[in-house]
Amino acid sequence: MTQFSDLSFIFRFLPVMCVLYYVTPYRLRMFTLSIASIIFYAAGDFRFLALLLFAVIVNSLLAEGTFRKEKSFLIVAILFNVALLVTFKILGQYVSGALFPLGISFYTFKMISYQIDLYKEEDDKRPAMIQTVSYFLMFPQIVQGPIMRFQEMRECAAIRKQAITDILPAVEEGLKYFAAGMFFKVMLADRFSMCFNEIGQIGYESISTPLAYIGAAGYSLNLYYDFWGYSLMAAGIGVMFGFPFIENFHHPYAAASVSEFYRRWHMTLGSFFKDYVYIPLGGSKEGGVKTLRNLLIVWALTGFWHGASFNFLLWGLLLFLIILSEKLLLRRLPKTLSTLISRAHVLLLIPLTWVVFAITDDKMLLSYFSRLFPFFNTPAVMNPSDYVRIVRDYAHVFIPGLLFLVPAIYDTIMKYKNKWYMTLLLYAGLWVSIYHAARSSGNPFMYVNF
Amino acid sequence: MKETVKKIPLLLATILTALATTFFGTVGRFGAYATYRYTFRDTPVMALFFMGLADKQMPFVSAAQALPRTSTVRDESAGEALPQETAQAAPANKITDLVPQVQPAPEAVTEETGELPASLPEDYTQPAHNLSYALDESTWDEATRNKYGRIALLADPETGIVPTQYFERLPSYSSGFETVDATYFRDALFIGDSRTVGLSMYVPDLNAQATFYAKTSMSVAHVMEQPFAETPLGVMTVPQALQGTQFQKIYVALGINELGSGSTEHFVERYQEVIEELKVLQPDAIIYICAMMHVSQKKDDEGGYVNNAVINDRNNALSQLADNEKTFYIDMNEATDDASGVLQSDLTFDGVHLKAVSYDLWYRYLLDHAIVKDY
Repeated sequence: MTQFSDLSFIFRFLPVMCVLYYVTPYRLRMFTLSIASIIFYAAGDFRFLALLLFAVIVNSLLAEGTFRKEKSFLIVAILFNVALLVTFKILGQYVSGALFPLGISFYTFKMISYQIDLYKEEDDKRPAMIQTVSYFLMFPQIVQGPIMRFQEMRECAAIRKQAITDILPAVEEGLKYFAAGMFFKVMLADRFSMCFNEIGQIGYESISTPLAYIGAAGYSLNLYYDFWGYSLMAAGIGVMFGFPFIENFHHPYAAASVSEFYRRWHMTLGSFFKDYVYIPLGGSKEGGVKTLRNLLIVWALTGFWHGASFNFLLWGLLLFLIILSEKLLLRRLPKTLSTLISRAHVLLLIPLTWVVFAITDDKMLLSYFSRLFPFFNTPAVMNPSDYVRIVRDYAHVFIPGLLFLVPAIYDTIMKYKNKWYMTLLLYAGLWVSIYHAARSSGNPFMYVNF
Repeated sequence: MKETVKKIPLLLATILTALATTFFGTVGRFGAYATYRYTFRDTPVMALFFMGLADKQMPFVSAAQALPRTSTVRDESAGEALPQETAQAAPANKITDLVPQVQPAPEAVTEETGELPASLPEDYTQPAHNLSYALDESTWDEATRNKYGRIALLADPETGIVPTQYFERLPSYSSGFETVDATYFRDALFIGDSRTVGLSMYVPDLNAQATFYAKTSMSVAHVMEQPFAETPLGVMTVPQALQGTQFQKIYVALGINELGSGSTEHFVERYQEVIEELKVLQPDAIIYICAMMHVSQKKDDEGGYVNNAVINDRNNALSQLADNEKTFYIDMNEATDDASGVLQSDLTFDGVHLKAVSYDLWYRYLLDHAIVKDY
């Protein structure tokens, strides 16, 4: 049920909670939201519910001190959250995947940002305890973000009294984002995932070089539509509940450089590292070696945050090197040439870095790269025309998948989303996705067919 | 308020659609969709309607009228008559006149029910794939055996009568599996799902010889209906394709995609129908009923529909379909299982398919388990 594309979520949990939330007197709504979130989390990962509640209590208590601007409280709070995250990252990676609590990467980061913001900000109005608690727990964000800032919650409509004439249009607006997200997730991401899985079935050591590149593209698109779709659904639910729309993706593949790509990709994570790590370390102000050090720290941490295995660290370091080369070398080239190269970075190098991100097994990763760059060995078994079948079977996913990389298409839909024809389009997108999700819920072979 | 209603078309349309599909799902739950695998606790009832929609099954019919999938697809108008029908018309000899001391063949499958006769002789043992028959051949002389080797099985269990024409038409087979070379597959057809697609793609020696009608997600339920057979004349259904070409060997490797639907009995019934139809379309061919390959322990542990218990149950039932005359059961798991009877983990990525490099094991198994006709 913690999957937003799950029909039980869409047609049971979400409408029930939405109605309960709005029939609650507005002063108590955050209380309703917290209870709903606890139920949601319990349904997803009951074993670690106690850990989440423990973290919420500890952070709420420490917040008393950080609000009084006591630095020791802030340091303890940061250490506590970081220790929690690191411990379970390592346990989950090296002991058992079952030891990784649902959403811990996101809720600890929200807690850290809360403590730092509370310490720094000059607002002397103390946030209500229930507001803090509901911010930590809120179910649309607990599993995979976005990492909303507390400030955004304090300023939103959710905590004010609203008339039904304001509430219904907000739900409508949120539903539109949700519909778009659902379409990306079910109709694109899940299908790209099947595509990449089929390549895995062959065994990376036996794929042809064209297939290796198609696989890199397929996985990149899978990840993009999965996370963008998820983020749209999460933000849409937030809007339904009176929170602001949190933008987490802004057409990253239209970026003119890798640095820009990461200002448009998983934006709430990027701005977290920027605001709480990169800038406090001095950012790029002091120039030279210090900037280099700060960048390295940020990218190593970003890698580790995604997972405690070697490939994620390698992924972070590769991005560091690409961004460094953009900062140091490309600037010296003529403008047109440097633009060309940095665009090529986005469209060619980024997919290759996603391969590093995708394959956690070092040996398999090496196999995959030996097929991407087939200069070192020839596979024992390989079908040189293996890509023909994949292209034929997945062309209908690649075409819309590539088209939606063009910002104008999505932007136009959203710009005119209140026109009847776009509403109709979103309605169709939503229900086609529901139809496919429903078929797969009853028939596990719809997505995993052999 | 009226103004507000105008502002929320998507919400209203979605609520109405949800209510309507829930209504259809609920109606169907007690009728057309009664047999669907569905748990109310896990999924809203509207999902039933969508599953039905995918099967082109409307909710407003009773359960009895629904489920066209179980119906036979045998084409009664096909040019070639069924052997059993021929048996009625053709001049017949009494088998006992020809072969001394032959018992009526107990494993002859009764036509109507597809089940074994109710009473079996005490000393009867179910034939395995080693071609051991219940018939007492030890009393036959060499000449009889050579001449009439396997005919007795086709005798009518009641009368012991065998249609004459079978005496001429049926070749006898060598008494067990033999090892052959790649040319054996020159006149062979493989019908299967993604696993067979893999076999065709990653065993070039086999692909160069054999014909493959295989498609990802293919199932026994749909194999005779869906157009997926790639022929020089284009893509067509298997029956269409088989009208133009005669094969000597047909390998059927299906079943993994329908582990989650229907019962073993229903699956085997449908499988039998497919085999019978293939026999009519390809009277000269022998048919290999291929056991489903096991899944890995990891896949098994996921606890889904795809697990080795179901696979073993269904394989076991499939092995009973073989008459060791025209149809033979082969179990390639011998080549790919580990000691505990599951697919070896290093041969697979997803626990269900062989990796490209592993298909050779399957191919070697096929080379070592061939039935050779002695004309």
